[in-house]
Order: sequence, then structure tokens, then C-alpha cells
Amino acid sequence: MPLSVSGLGVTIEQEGGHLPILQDIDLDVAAGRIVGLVGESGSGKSVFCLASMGLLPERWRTDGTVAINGKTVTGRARRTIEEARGREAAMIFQDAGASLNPIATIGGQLVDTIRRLRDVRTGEATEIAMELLEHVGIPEPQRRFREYPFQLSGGQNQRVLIALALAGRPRLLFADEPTTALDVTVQAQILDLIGRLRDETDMGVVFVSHDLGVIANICDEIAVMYAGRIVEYGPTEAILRSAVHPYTQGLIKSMPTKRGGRLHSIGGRVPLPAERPAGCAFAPRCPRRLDKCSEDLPALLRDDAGPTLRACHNPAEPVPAAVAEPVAAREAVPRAGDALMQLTGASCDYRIGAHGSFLSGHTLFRAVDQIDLDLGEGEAVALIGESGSGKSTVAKLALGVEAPSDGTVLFDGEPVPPVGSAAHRAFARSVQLVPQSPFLATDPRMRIGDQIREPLDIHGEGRAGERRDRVRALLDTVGLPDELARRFPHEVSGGQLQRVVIARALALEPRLLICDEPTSALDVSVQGQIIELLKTLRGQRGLSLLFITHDLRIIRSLCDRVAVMHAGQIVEYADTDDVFERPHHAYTRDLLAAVPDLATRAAPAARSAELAS
Amino acid sequence: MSDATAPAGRGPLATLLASAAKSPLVLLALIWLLFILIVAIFAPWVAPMDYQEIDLLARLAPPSWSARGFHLLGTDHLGRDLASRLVMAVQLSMLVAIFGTVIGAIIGVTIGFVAARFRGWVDDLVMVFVDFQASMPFVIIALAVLAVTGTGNMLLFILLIGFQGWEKYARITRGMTLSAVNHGYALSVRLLGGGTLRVYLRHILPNIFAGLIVQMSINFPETVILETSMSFLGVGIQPPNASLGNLLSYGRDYLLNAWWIAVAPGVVIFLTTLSMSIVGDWLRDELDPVTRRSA
Repeated sequence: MPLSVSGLGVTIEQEGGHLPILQDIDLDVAAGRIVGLVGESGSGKSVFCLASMGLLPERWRTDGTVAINGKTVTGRARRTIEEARGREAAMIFQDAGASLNPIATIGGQLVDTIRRLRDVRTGEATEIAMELLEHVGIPEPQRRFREYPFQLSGGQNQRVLIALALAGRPRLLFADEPTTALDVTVQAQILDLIGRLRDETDMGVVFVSHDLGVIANICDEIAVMYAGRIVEYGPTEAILRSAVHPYTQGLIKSMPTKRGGRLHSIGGRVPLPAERPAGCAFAPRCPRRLDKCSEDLPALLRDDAGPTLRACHNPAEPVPAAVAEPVAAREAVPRAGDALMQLTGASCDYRIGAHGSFLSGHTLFRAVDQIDLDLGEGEAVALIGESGSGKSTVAKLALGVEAPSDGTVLFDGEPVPPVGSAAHRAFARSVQLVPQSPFLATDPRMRIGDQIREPLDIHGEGRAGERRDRVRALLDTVGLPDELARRFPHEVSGGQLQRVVIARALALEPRLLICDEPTSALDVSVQGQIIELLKTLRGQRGLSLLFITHDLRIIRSLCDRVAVMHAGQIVEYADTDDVFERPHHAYTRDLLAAVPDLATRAAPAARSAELAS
Repeated sequence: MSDATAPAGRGPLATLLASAAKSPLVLLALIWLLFILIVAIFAPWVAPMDYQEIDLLARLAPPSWSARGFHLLGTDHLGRDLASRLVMAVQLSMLVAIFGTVIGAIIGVTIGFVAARFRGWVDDLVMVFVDFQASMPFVIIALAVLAVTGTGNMLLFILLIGFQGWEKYARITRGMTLSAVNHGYALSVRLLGGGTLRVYLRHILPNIFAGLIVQMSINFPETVILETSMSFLGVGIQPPNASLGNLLSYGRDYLLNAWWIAVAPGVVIFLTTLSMSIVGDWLRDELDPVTRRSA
């Protein structure tokens, strides 16, 4: 058994008691199996991996036993993990670029690791390194061998990291969100690679992800974690078809699918280790809460009927994931005559290599190349593309952050004024931005209420008292309680803060809201809240939306039309349903095929059937 | 996110003081600085006698508290009470150091903001001056300025002292501003129609303030030393006003037969700058979330 964990607990020793991080984890990973850990951020998925690898800080205490390939590596045997690391078990991380040494070549890092782990000479190690690079699908390994991490793309760096992990021929691989930072098409390739390596080397894999779609596509078994415990565990098929824990069901329902439909969300947030309630930690957020839930901790027990284990006093009826929700009909919005925002042949060049300095020259990079895009009053248009496709630059053009190097960008028939100009003040009342990360977009040292009031202050709207009332009304509009106004951004959750950002953007009653990946920094459980809020605002206020995202799944029910961007150009622009059902461009089809979806689990199912026979 | 685990209900000041209580060295340094500050504020009332009163019969008297003369720290070559002179010197030196530090911070932060706001050639030019300043001892520049303007003008002297360290403020302000501008909230405010002043003063300044406080606490002892060096060289605070530097300077002439004249101001300078440095290091560790978390 590559990994056998029983009764694993992790606590932080600190003044005033112990802080439990992980509690009572039992998990076995058999050879050739991929076990997925899924849960919102703060549920303890990464800590589990680090604890198993013996990589936790000194002050953190580990209880229970972890055995890697039959050797106990916890307690008195703690030292063994140092030798086992790399040879017996290896780990790959989310941000491959940051995990590699930026000042050493790819080849140098590989050769060093191989020499250390396999006890071979440099010449032999070089050959092995080449083989590994080829094995993980790096094109032109001879050239890449001499290059540095910054010269490789994110996906290639992740492949190099996997090659490094394979250097010691481990029988167990921990993969901590290995595809989260990657584009969907690259993500699909990396998932394929991990699956292929599993088949070839028969290693066990622990695969951590917050994305149930990814987990469903690659894993044989799923462990759902919440607040430091496993709350439901079983074969992937069984979990997806007949999950009974309300938390698992909530996660499944929160997953956006290609078919669209209303997005569910789980209210509240994961409690911090210090605030975990007695009894079931999920009880405060649970729709099926009983009295004893907040007193008795439910044990992880085998389900009477099925092959799953779950820790719940009041399990729900199983709801098969694939048929959870029918396709919702989108209310069609008639196309208005005149375009509100219109880009005609618009291009945007960036200067590279200099920041306007008079001492050095520069080259031009065309981020957006002669695109045509129009958006009518009250219309919602999605702009889809991978990172580097230029979609965020389109947002900058539409907001006046960047001026078009070519072509025109018109709002209401007038050119969009540059930020900071006198005309921009008036423009700012009509067009507002909801950026990707609410943590970055809010001032960490200003109270939330003051930040929502700021646009009113800037534009001198109303008296002080009226402004306070307006702030209260805005908080109400986005579904937040009044008392949040007195808090600072770090005192609220990500989902709440994104609503604050939306409230601030709405303060001036704009006609067009530009949303630049507004949910990608948030947990999947709150993603639905934001999308539903935007939908409601559209209905109530006739707000127009330009919705920029890399995630095709979330826009189906929200947007009327979809523009697909690739390498600075719009390759497809059509009604949403047409794009999903009848994509014309090859790139759109690739994009659609790469999206992990709970429904597209045919291939892995066949594979586990083979294994079973 | 882990910020949310900070104990609720306690202000940042209370948290700071609680951590100070854990380290005896920091606590001692804080107590000494508080003592110096109180002495400086209430100097005329703390001083046992008039600091300018000359008593030629009691010249160079050693520390004594007999009926013949109550001189806790002895007297100088004109028979003036050194304890009183020291108290007044502390007042003047602290005044110069505090105003100097604040002026330096204001000048440096403004220049840093300008460099960060305009970038391009303005930025390059400012950074050239910063590098120039950093490679030139400030004492030499100060001496050159005083050679032209002459000594004795207190306001000019404070302004001059204030320029000490501007390049450090400018550099860290520019750096922190550039990263704060990329932080996103600055862009958000601009997209809402907010002007440059609002972005820089209402948003960026509070966010980089922790860093500036630390720089001020590092700069403060340097300012004290600069003022005392200038006065020691005779181009700073002029007699009959007393400053720590010129007390030390007189003491040098009588080091062999009246050691107490130099020792008392020397000890005060040493302890004050040391305390400020200790407090500065501690503040830097406390205000920097990265070092605080790993501690």
C-alpha cells in the first residue's frame, strides 16, 4: 500500500491551548489508484499532504500514523521520511513556476535531483533527465534542457515539476492543485499526463483540488474534506451518483456545468480552526441540521446501502449529479438597436522591455488585434479565452485604462476617455469594473462602509446622512448585513468582499458593468452566489454586462452572446446556445472539450471497470 | 486570510504593547525613551537651576550634593550646573531630532510619490539624485551649506538636519507605492473617478505608513547623531544654548581633569540612540506580517 494513514491529527501548539487543524483522518491509497481530496479552501487538504510528507513546521504536532510503502514515517520514525522523500513519495504543487529554482536551468535541476536520488554519475543522470523530459511530453527536450523556468510556459513548468517528482521513481505522488493555475486546455493535458503515468508506473496518487469537475475526471476515489475531517468517502461513481452528505451535495450542486442552469451555493464559510463548533463542523451551514448535530460529532460510518462512508446524522436522499438540474431557459433579451459599447477594429500594443525610460529601447507586442465587438443596452456578453488571449486588455480598452493603438472604442457614441482625464469622471458614472480579486481591489486599511461610500464622496452625491443611507441600501442590494460596513476587508470572506466590490461599483448606478473574472479567486461554493447576484441585478436594473472569464461553465445561464478570443483576435462571436451546441471555430471546440464536467466521466469509468475485472 | 485570526476586540496598540512586555530589552528601551521625552517636554521645570547661571567660584566642580553646592553632575569651566545644562540640551536636541525626522519624512515621501506617479524621466532623475545622496556623507553637504549660510540660524539648522535621510524615505516610498499601485485598489479608485491626490493620500499613504514608521525610527538616531556631530564640530547649536553635541565638545577639552563634563551627555546620546534602534528593530518585526507570523 503506497499510503496508509490512520487516525492522523495535526494540532498547532500555541498559548491558550491547542488548535486542531486535522482530526482523525483515515485514508488508504492503493497502488495504481488516484484518490481525490476535495473541499473548500481551509478544509485541510494541503495540510494533509504536507503532514504525510513530514513537511509541516516544527511547532505543529502530528498524531496518528502515516505509513508510506509500509514504512511508518510519523512519531519516532520521523527521520525516515527525510530519506523517503523523493524516492518513496514525491509532491507537485500548484504554482510550478514558483516551485522551480529560477536561476538554475531545467536540466541542471533535474540532473542534481537524479544524482541525489539515484546515486548515478552526471553523464548517466543527463540521459535519465532527457528521458524524463520526453516522458512527460516536453517538446524539444534538448533545447529545454538548457533553458530556465521563466522561458517555459506554465503548463511546461508543471511538466518539468512532474519530471522532477518522477526522478526518484516514487510509488506515491501527492498532487496539490497541480492544474489550478493553468488554462483549461493545458489542464486537460496535465490531467491526461498524470493518468497516463499512473497507468505506466502503477503509483498511487493523492490528488487535491477544489474543483469537483477535475476530481471527477481523474480520480478513482473521492474523499470530501470539511474543517479538517473527511466527511464523505467512496468510489468516484458512488459519490457523484449517490452522495448523501449535505456538504458533498452542496459542492456537487455548486459545480457549474456546460448545460447551464441555476448555480447553487453553500451559505456561510468554512470555520477557522479556532472557531470550529462542538459537534459537526458543518452544522451551522447545513440545511438538514438536527439538534444533536451541534452536540454529537458524527463518526465516519459505512453507508448501509452503498459503498461510501459518511459522517452525518441526517444524510440526505442521494441526488445524482448529472440530472440535478434541468437546463434552464434563459430569458432572451431583444437586441437593442444601438450599441452601448462598440469596439471597431480596435487594437492595443504594449511596449516590452522598457517602462518609458529614456535610457533603453523597447519592442511592441500586440495584445489585442483589430477586434470588432458590440454590446447593446441591457445585453450581457461573455468574453472567453485563455490567459494571454487578450481578454483583460479588452476590458482595459473599454474602461479607458489603455488607449487603442488602432481603431475606435466607443461608449454611447463617444470615444472612451482615458482614466484621469476630466471627461473620465463623467464616464465613470456609466461604466464600472468588478475585478478578479476582491482582496486586491479593496483598500486593506479602510472600512468597508467607507469604501462603498467613496464613489459618492468623489462625485459629491448627497449629504453625509444621505450617503450613509445609500451605503446601507447598497449593502442590502447585494445581500449583506449593515454591520459589515464597520469591518475591514480582511474580516470578511472572499464571497462577501466580492459583493462589497459589486456594491461599490453599483453606487453610481452605472449602465455597464465590466466583470473581469469576478469568481476565479473565490471558492466554488460561493461562485454561484456572485453569478446569481449579477443575474438578479441584470433583471432589476437593466444593467449591461461584459463578462470576462476563462471558465465556460459559469456563463451559460448568464450571458446572451459569447465572444471567443484567441491570440488577440475574436475567433467566434455568436449567441450563447449556438456557441455551446454548434461551435464553428476549431479553437472553440477544443475549449469546450477541455472543460472538466461532472457529466463527462465516461473514460475513467471504463478504466476503473477494467481494473476491477 | 489568516489575518482574521488576530484577537478580536484588541486594538493594534494594545497588541503592540502586549508584545513589548514580552521582551525586557524592548521594555527598557521604551521606558528610557519615555523618560527622555518627559524630561525634554518639562525641561525648564525639571532643571534644578538656571542653566546659564555662571558661578566662577565653583568652576569644574565634581558631582556633589553637599551644602556647598548642589551639582548632581558637577559644573563646567564657567561654573554652570551641568545637570541643568544636560536637561536643557536634551530638550533642544530632541526638538531638532523630532522636527528633523518629520521634515525628512515629509520631503522624502513627497519626492518618492512624485517619482512613482510620473515614472519615466522624472523617476530616473529622482533616482539619480537619490543615488548621489546615498554615496555622499551628509555631514559634508551640511558643512558646505553652513559654510555658505553661516551658523546660528536655528530654523535653517533644523531644516538642514531634516534633509538628512530624505533619500531613504524617497526610495522606500517609491518602491512601496509602485507595488501598492499594482495592488488594484488604486486602479479601482481611479476607475471610480477619484483623482491622484485621493489615491495617494487617502489610500496609498495609510497602506505604506507602517513601513514609514519603521524608517522614521531608524532615521531618528541618525538625526540625533548628526545634530550632535554638527554641534560637536561647532557649526550646529551655538552657545549659550546647550545641546548634547556642544556639551560633549566642551567636555573634550577637560577630559583629563573634569571627566564628568563629557561622560553625562555621552551616556545620554548613547542610551537614546541605542534605545531608538532597539525600538525600531522591534517595530519593524512587529509591523511586518511576514516576520511576525514566523516568529
